[in-house]
Amino acid sequence: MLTVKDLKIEFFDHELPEVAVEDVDFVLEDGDILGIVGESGSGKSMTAMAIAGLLNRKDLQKSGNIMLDDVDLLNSSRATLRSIQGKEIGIVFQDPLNSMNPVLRVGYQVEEAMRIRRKELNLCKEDMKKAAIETLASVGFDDPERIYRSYPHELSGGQRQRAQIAAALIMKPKLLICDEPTTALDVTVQKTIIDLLKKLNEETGTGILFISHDLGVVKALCKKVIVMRNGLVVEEGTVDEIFGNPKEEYTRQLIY
Amino acid sequence: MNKFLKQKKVGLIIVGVMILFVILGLVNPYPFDKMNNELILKGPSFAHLFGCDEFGRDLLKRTQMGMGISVLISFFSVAIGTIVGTTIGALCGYFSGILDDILMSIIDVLFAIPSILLALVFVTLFGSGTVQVIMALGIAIVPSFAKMMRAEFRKQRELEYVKMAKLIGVPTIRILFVHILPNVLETFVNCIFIAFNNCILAEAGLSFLGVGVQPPVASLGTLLSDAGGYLKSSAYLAILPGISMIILLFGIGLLSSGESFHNAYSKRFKN
Amino acid sequence: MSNIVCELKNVQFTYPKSDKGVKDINIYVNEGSIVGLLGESGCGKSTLAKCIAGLLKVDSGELNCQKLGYIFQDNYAALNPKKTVEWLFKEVIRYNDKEALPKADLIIKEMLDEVELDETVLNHRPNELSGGQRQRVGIAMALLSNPKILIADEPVSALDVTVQKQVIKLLQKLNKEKNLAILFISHDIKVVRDLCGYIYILKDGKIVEEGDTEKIFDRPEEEYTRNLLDSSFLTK
Repeated sequence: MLTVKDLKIEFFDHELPEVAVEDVDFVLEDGDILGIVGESGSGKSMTAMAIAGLLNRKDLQKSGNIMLDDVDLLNSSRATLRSIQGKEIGIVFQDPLNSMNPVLRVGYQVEEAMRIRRKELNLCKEDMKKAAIETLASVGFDDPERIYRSYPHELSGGQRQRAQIAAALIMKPKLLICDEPTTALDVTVQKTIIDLLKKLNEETGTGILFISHDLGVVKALCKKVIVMRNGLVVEEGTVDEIFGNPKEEYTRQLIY
Repeated sequence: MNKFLKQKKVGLIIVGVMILFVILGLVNPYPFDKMNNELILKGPSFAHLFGCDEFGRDLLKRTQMGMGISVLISFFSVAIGTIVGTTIGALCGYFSGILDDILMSIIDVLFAIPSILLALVFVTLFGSGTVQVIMALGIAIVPSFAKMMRAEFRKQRELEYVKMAKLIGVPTIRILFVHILPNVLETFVNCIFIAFNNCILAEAGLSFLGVGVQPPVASLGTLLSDAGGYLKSSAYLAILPGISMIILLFGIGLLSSGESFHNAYSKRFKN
Repeated sequence: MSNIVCELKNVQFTYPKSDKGVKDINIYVNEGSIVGLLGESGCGKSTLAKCIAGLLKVDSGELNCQKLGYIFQDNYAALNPKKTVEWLFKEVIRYNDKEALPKADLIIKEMLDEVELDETVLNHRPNELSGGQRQRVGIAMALLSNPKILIADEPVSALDVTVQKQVIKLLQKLNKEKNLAILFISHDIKVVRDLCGYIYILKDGKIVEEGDTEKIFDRPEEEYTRNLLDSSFLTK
């Protein structure tokens, strides 16, 4: 479903170009969960942002291909990207406090991806609300109506993260990109989010690209893993391969 | 280069030129107080670049001197205001509680009185003169300085490095002025420049009202005030000192904009 | 029976105008041991650390602690951003032992060796250093006052895993060589398991379980502990 080929991203902040990501190739099959593991500065978030089409900055130079089915996300126009973002690709960010708008109700933000396509989908307000509440229920809220009406600061960190997942999933995207979704959470809450992602993947067949610095979490969730360091892929393989028999010294260090 | 740094450079150049202007006044051969009947209200010429005033005194010399006096008055006022204001702000911000409440109430009351009015009251009580103006303007600066510094110190107080210093056993005075102050330097320096600007303006205002420096000594305010009667016939008397003042204020204003020179966030050092 | 370097008996602290705080805390740390204090965010572990260090005044209970050093979580605020590392070191020496000031250069050099830092860091400001280097500087500052016990409040949480391991190794080395007791406060079960010999588990301001590391990990008694272990995806 998702194919990344020869991805290279360079910065032009200073006089010399700085390579953020280089030679990244991987394939994510339909309904698979792929983990990208690395420490800070390894380029894992950069890769994810490139796939999400969020790297439209002038001081960046990108080359290679990112194919989602038949569309090249890296080299397509802004309009094409717009139609894909939110519909085919959903994104969940790390910091649950900053990634939701504090002055809008949760329900409004969950509906957002649907609202901007309201005309083409021919939806009325009630349809959207119904969809939003269904999605909120599907991410494990017992009282979706109440969550729909609350503001982000009224929810706990784990609840906010689940609401964010709901917002990403409302258009039933093919691909869900999770950028360190559990890093800011307590371990007990982290578990519930991982279980939820697993369940959603099984039920809806959504492919998940899971980015984390925590190999333990990745092991619990993913089938395939890519280990990145300094913008390069150091090792890739199935979870069993990576954890049972890591080839690289660096990977061994990461395993706790 | 960063936009703010450019602004600051321009500001620095302007202020430097104005200081040079004042210093050149020291070697200006014309006396500032000698009246000359032949030169009364004579317009700008090569001999007298800024022309002469209603008593036949060289306006260039008087402008240079007036600016020097204005800057000196502002300098001392800002020094008083800064020392008192920062000390109050630092103490209030660092120790909250009863001291903070009392001092801040006084500051709030001071805030409610317009600074010119405060200065007028001061001058009425102690008579007019340069020292009185300096004191009055200094007191007028204290409230805004104290408020700014209090907010900054309160923010810093919560940071770990301050707790660390406490644990080491560093005395409080040293924590306040050696550990914390460098970290609020940006706000501190900007506050000083803004206060300096306000001071020059306020001094001009006071002199305009006649409570500032006494003749024959001139300041920018007295020059403008004296020129008031000749606006129609000899406008240059107001325009030339006025423009000099505006350029100086503009230069100082540029210095106070944006971030400070001490950009500590230099490029990361890695081994 | 070895000496106790830090002991808390029935310590209680509540923040003014709230019901948050810590209650009935009984903790002791033996000389030369590494004790872990494990808990999730908001459980009061940082509050407790501040109480022990004397930054917060306890409401009631007994608190006996020998000379301590304190390590903060690595962030840019833990070391004064406007001062050089050398200045920071000298400040500690100045207020710990004034007579040692003439020998400061020598002491600092020895300390740098001890925490495995290069002399080049001395002329740099903290924000020019990497996270691992900064934390080593923090440890060195804590050690300069010759403490009997180190209070380490989440010292590695903000660091990358590989850097974490180096810092942990350093702490282990210091523990062994200087017979230094460490009270290690963290939310990270994996780190605590690797480092500590005895663990207290804190929840909502109370200690819910305590025991040797093996006992906690192999035979947890409390539901909460089991849940915690279960959730943290241990890979070893």
